[in-house]
Amino acid sequence: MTTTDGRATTGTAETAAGGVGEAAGRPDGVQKVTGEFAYGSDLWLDGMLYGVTVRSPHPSARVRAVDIAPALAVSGVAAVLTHADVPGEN
Amino acid sequence: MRVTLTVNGTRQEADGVWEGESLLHLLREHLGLPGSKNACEQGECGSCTVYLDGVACCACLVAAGQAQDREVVTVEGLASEGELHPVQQAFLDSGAVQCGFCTPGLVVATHDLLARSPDPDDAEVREALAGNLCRCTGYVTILDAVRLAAGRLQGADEEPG
Repeated sequence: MTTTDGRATTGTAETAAGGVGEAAGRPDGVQKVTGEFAYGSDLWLDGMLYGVTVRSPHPSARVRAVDIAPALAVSGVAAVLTHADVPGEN
Repeated sequence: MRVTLTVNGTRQEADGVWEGESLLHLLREHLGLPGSKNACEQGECGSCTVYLDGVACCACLVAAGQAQDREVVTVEGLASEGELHPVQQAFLDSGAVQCGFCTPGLVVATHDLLARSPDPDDAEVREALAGNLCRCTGYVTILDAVRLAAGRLQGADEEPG
């Protein structure tokens, strides 16, 4: 079977770019190989606060009390969050 | 303190650098170059790999002050005039980029390997990239990318000028 302009055809539509069976490029690939992709740790805003997790230095120990007052007294500390700040039963 | 250094060919100056600060922190937080990734901060993962005076190293293990008057090249400095370096293109074409967090370090480490050894065998590639961890565990395609980049770079060298 041929078309009116003489080209052979298999009876199927010509393969469209980006169709089934064609490898698709990663939409974020170029940014990731050039270092431009911004991960959470790459975001920066004026006045941004930094968080630090403080864990018990003692394995298998029972935390009986957490005294946040000395931490709050440190210059620049905006907040100290503990289990008490998590809603619900803790 | 003030640190003056050359980064990706440009003279840079950073003020207010803490004496205990790493080169990685200097690049990311003072010079606005977050391409070098901050992950382990102890030289285990390779995601912060940069060139320091032409030698690939973990930027997290270099004190910012040690980079004074020296030359640093980061992943941001590998592509030229909007064109990806063949190593970067090979990582894309091989599907070696997944989450991409290890990619900048691996791209610099591969760039360094192929500059030193244009046609490395698999053992040499594994040795050279042993300090770069990929937590997506996409190592098979990463090794494919290194081979592809090596072949393309050699092909480019062989073309008559």
